[in-house]
Amino acid sequence: MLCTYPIDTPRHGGQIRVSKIVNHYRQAGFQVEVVGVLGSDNYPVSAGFEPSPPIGELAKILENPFLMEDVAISQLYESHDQYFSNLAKQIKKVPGLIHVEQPWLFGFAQRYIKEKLSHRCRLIYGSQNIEYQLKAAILKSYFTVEQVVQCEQQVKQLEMRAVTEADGVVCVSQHDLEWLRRYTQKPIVLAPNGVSEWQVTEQGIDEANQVTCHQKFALFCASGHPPNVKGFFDLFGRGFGAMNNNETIVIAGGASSAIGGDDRVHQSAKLAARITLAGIVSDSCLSGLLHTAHCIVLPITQGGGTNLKTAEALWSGRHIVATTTAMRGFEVFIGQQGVHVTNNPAIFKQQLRKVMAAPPLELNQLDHESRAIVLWEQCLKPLSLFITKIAPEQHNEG
Amino acid sequence: MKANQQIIWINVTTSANWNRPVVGVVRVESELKTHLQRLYPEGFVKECIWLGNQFVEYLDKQESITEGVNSEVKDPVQNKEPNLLYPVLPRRVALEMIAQGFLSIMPAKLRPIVSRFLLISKRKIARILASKNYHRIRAGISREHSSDRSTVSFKNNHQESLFNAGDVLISVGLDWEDPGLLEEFSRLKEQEAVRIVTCCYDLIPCLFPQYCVSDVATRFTQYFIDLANNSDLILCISRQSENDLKQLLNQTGAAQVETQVFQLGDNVPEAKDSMMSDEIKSILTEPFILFVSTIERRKNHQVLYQAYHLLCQQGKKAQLPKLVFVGMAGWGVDDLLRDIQLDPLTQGLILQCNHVTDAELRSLYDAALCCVYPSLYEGWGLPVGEALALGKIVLSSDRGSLPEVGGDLVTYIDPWNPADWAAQIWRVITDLEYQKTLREKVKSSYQSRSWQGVARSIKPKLDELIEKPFTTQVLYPGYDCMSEVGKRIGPVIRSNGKAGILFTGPNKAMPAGAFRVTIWDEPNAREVGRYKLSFLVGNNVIAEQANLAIQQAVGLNTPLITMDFHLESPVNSLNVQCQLISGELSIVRLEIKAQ
Repeated sequence: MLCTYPIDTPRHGGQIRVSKIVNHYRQAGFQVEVVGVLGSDNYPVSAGFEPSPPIGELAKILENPFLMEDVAISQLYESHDQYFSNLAKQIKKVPGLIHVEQPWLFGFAQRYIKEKLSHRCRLIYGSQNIEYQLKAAILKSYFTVEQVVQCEQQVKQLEMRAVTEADGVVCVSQHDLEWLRRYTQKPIVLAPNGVSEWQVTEQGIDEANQVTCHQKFALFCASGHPPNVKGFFDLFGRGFGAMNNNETIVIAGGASSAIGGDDRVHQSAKLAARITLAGIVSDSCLSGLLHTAHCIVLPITQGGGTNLKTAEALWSGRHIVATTTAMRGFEVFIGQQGVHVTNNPAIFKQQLRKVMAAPPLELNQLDHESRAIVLWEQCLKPLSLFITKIAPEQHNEG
Repeated sequence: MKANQQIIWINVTTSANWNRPVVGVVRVESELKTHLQRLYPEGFVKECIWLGNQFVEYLDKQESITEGVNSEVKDPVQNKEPNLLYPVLPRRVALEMIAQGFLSIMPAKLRPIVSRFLLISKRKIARILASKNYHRIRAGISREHSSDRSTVSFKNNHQESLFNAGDVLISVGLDWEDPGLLEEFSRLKEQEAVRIVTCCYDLIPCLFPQYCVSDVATRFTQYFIDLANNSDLILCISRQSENDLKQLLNQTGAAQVETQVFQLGDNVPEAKDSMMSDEIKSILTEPFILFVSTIERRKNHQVLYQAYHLLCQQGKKAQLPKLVFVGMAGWGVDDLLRDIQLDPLTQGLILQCNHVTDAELRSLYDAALCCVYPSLYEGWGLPVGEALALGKIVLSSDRGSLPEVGGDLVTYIDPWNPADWAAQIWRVITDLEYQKTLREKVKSSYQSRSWQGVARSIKPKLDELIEKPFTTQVLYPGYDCMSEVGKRIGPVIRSNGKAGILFTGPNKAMPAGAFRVTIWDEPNAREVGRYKLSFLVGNNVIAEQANLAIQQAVGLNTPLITMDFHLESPVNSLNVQCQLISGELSIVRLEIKAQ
């Protein structure tokens, strides 16, 4: 498994997905080694991972690597002999199949197979998104149109190479699958993002109560990834009247400080007064928040993948107010009891108000069971069979 | 407990504190009070004022402004205010000016640091100023310094609320100037079951912040969101204002509050005082066109000046009547007033009058050749109605609510087109037949709106509010109650194996009547034991069932218990209290229904 973040303590969606895929492969009888490059200084040192390259090195590759570090890393580890060699040394076992999660280390993997292996090694591209579209959407807020187009092209080139040259592709949504199918005839498998069952503890509820002060609340749990912040302001900007005086939106995760420190929170009337910033919370607190929330909001307007938080929201059994982007991969639940979907900011806010005034959602046993397809074990189920077909000799039940 | 009689209260804080010439909001508050008092039986409609921390009854007897009845009675509040060298500013403006003054005396090097500090502290200071403690201290100080005011004018009762559950409070004054007032509306509505009626004059600060002193769009959007949240009914002075309000509430996802349009009365005060300034006397000797409005950018005096300039350019100066602006100069019109002062073409044609008395205004209306109103936007447009009520020809802008006021009796002109204004003004002053036709049409067709009619138009809605039955209250103990021995888990309170008060709440006002409380729990979480259920008003137990058994549930759709109680009269604070003696319970919700 090649990726640009460690999975010892998975936090964000990408880490959790890789961690679950690795566990799934192992449980299916494969031997798995996780190797990569730390895509940011913020990640802790981890066995099998090269440290994040100095910005000076990245600047030799791209004039301005800001928000384009992944592209620079991609080129550095494919083209620079020393960096290539360092990463190659991290691979201790001889691989029969390499799963490259996201396109950034795909070039490295191809060179590694070509130069270091004498046998045929299959390559799987793990797509989490339509990367070039997402990158363009993120960069739009920071760069000129020309710069955005240029960066978009660079990402697209990497992505298309991974899509077209891999032996098989793993994707996260039907929408992405259809897009991928236009570019490759190789096998593609849909393995959406999922969620692990969690147990709420007394401690978790106490921690959640400390955050919420027993107010009725809607939960927005997200990383500080720019699309999450943008989506929040896209939906809740221009005045926010969706909450009553004794209600609040609890923002948990990296999005908390990103939103709290953004001027736009004070420019949308009443928004600052209606949010509670929980910051990055422990797993127990998160499970307490999910358990005590009245509603979960998924104001996501960008991105082509699927949202782990959507799976989490569905499994929590709380009311959900979401965009169609947030529901990507979970379309089957749109219109079901307690799932409200709209992309119109005014209707999103009105819907949130209605949901907050509604009684707590009570799913019957059947509805609850129907949501089990969002659990990781269900989501990744097709994966082991898929790679067994691609690289049958790698399967080792022992 | 208080007597079981619902009262309509009118918040007259704005008019009670007003000591300048009457403006629209003051007139609305005062006229509504007077005419509602006449519509309802004596003692049914009472006045109250907001002291910054509580409402108290106001016993002054000021009558209708337009009718001037009992005008000898002096406003006690006005009596006590000394003549001030400078006008009293709204708190926000005053704070900004203090901060600016403070900065200007700072050494230049320190200014950025102090400015940053002030910026950081802004929200904190605002919170302090909005806090109940601040208002309490302020009210305390103000009482110390004006003890006679409270003893003469207010019927105070600091221990008990002024209101009964089901009372109606109408507040149509300058409510946006005191954020604490809206917080009190929220508390009164939620805790004391008072029905709140407020007013939306217009959404100009939200829709046209460029015409306001500073960027107030966010502040006023917040105000309207709060207003919708904290009101049972919002009176809107035009369909335009109602539409604007609903659009804003939709866009922000705010509460969908009930609204009612009430069109303002347009009876102009009678000219009782024959004393007239020399300036007005002089104006009345010649023909003139009248524009009654404060002078500010939105009112668009600019287009009239441009129209007059164009007409003068065309060599028509000698035939032009004077153009009289009645109103104080406001913000952002210095350049315009300077242009008018210096323009040799229009010199002497455009006059501005300030501090005009009601009698003088009436005389000006009576003598005007026609009235103009080129405003870029209005929530209503009272001067158009007043001019029509006096049979005047009106040339008006077609924007905002103005067509609602004038119907088809007014000549509408694009407010951005000076040439059209020039052409229409010229036609009215030169085409005597046209003038006659317009005037006769107004005189024969315009239906004047009396304030009595206005009061009558809102009475049915007020009656509905008064008669509105108690609606079933669904309470979620985790949010609405307190617990001594239980754990609050979202909406639920779950026992923890300890004896004691499992929940108590909601501490809310209730009307008189018979009620049934149903308590729902999670049947699967029950463990056999005993509990006590009590109903308390303040500290007094009014009903109780001791030693109730917790038994295994027989079905999932069976409540834990149902219990009835009766209130002889409205109460300010009712609590349902569950004391767990033994066993386990997990309480999901309480329903209180009228029987």
